[in-house]
Amino acid sequence: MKSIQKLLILLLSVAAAMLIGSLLILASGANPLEAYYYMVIRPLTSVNSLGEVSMYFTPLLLVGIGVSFAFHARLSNLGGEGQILFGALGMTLMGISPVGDVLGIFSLPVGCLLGILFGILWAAIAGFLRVRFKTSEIVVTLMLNYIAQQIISYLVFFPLRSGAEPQSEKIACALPKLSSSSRINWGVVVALLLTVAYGVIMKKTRFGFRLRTLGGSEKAAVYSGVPVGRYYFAAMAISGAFCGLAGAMQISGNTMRLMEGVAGDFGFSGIVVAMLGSLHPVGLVIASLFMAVLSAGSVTMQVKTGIPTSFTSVLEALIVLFILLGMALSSRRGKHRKGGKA
Amino acid sequence: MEGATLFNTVFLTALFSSGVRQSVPLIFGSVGDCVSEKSGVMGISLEGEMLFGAFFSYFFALQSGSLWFGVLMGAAAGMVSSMLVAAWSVWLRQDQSIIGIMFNIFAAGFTNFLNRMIFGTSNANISIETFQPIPLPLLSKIPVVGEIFFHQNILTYLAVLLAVLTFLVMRKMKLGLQIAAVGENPKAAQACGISVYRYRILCYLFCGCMAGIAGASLTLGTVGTFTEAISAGRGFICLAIVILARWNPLIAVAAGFGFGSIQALQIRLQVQGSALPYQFFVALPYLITVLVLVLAGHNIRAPRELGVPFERESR
Repeated sequence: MKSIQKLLILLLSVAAAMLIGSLLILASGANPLEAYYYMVIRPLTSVNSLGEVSMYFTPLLLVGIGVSFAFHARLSNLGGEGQILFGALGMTLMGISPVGDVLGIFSLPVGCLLGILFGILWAAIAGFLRVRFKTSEIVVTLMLNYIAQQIISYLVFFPLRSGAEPQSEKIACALPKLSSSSRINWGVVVALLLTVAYGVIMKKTRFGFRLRTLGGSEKAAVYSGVPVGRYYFAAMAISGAFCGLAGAMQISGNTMRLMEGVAGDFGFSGIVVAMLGSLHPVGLVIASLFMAVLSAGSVTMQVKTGIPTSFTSVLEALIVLFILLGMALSSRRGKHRKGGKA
Repeated sequence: MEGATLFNTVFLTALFSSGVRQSVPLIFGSVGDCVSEKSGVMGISLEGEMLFGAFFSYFFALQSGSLWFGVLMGAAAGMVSSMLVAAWSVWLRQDQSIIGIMFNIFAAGFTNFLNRMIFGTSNANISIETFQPIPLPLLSKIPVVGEIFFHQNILTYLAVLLAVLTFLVMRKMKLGLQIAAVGENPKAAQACGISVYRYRILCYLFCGCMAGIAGASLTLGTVGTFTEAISAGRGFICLAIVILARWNPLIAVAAGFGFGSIQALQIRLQVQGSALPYQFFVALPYLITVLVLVLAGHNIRAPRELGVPFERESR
């Protein structure tokens, strides 16, 4: 498919979803223009609110890249939430332990690495079961989300609890800020650099080429000598690594404490980012930015117009459904045209 | 000693009786999914259709004062919403897991949105009188077993009845064979004059309808109100049940009862208090689902074209 055509489909999908969304807003008695102003325009109007947008941008982009790796191998990593929670746990353990004091300024990168490792471990369960037992990674990753939620809940209610609230102690190692006037931090830069790395890996390395071959056709991959099992496992593990890092940064750059719900909706929104960005590095960045604006803006929208933030999930899901519709219709038309020529 | 055994029988009777109640949504959902998976469409969006059914059955039962009208509207909501999934996965031939998950996000967001807009945040829990247990004549007099299985509400009996009917249709009737053919070898089915699209879409609508009733059985059969994300992963547990049951609706009833009992045990252990943290018990059904998938998931004969979109024009 031509990339201009693809872009057109993406833009039309966003427009169509927002149009349906505005019907919902109208039905609930609010003014769509006002609601969308708070949701889409307002977050971009001040340095402070841009900082809030960045709080959503970093995890969305990281999870989006993670999910994309899995999609390239035609795997569905629906376990972003669990992997984020485990990444957050890794960072927290480093941040509150005495080892962190010993490591000093190195405790932040080590904490991130621990978060990545934890994310990999949680995703590896699904990867292993898929490769060894052919168990559907779709159901397993989903189930692992529920299990991870309960593990984190247990940890913050009992062993890691500090004070009256079910949350951990404040961690010692924070991500350094980029500017003093808003909450934006270096996590954004790291996420952008990793996007470049993602692009290079997918386009320039043997690993990326083989992963795409595997996603195109498992048979073709087998015949061209790709160790299929190892590649499925690797795709899942890398996916978990990115989600784990998102979790680590969620702790060190945002909440500073481990608590329930620290993963937010990022696990599933990351899938929307991957679809909307159509797995392309630049696309992922734009999609994350758009979704981050929506998420940050929806909080203001809820306060000002009474429309609940869950409206964003409706919008997100509609966008992807319209993208799928557009892709299906245009590929069908393309096929007919080809058929006509032959 | 005698007191202890008495307590045990009472405890077990109460446990399994609650297990049957917990299994009702699982049975409706998995019987529906048996049919749609036989025709080749995965029910990943069961979870979302259950949410639709749960919300609309509660809403309409509350408005009309009739529980049966609630169930009907819940079934309709499940079916109408599943049209979306059917259109996208069968007619547009898109990846069923992505559509399923997007639909679930949509359903969670949309029911949450409606719940907030209609009932607000403060008084969200207006309870309604749920379906009351109907003791079946004679059968409910059997000691222990009668109390567990034949002292349930009407939806429980309906679930088993529909499972039996589905089993008969799938195994003994031409229609069942045709559905299986569509899932096993759609090209051959098409060559025999069966419309693959129509069968798959209708099977999926049946699944959505059942998922809608499953949702209604949650709000109108046990809980009495709608809370956000009330389905809590039950739709996905149904998928595991279907695999465990080897796409047989009757075994799905038994497997559903098994999972329902685990759920009931989990709730009891949580309330009773134990050395283990309550989170362990909440996680238990999900953990067992994974174990079941791993242990029962191999050496199976799934419908051959399960999850594979069919292209009508293909040769």
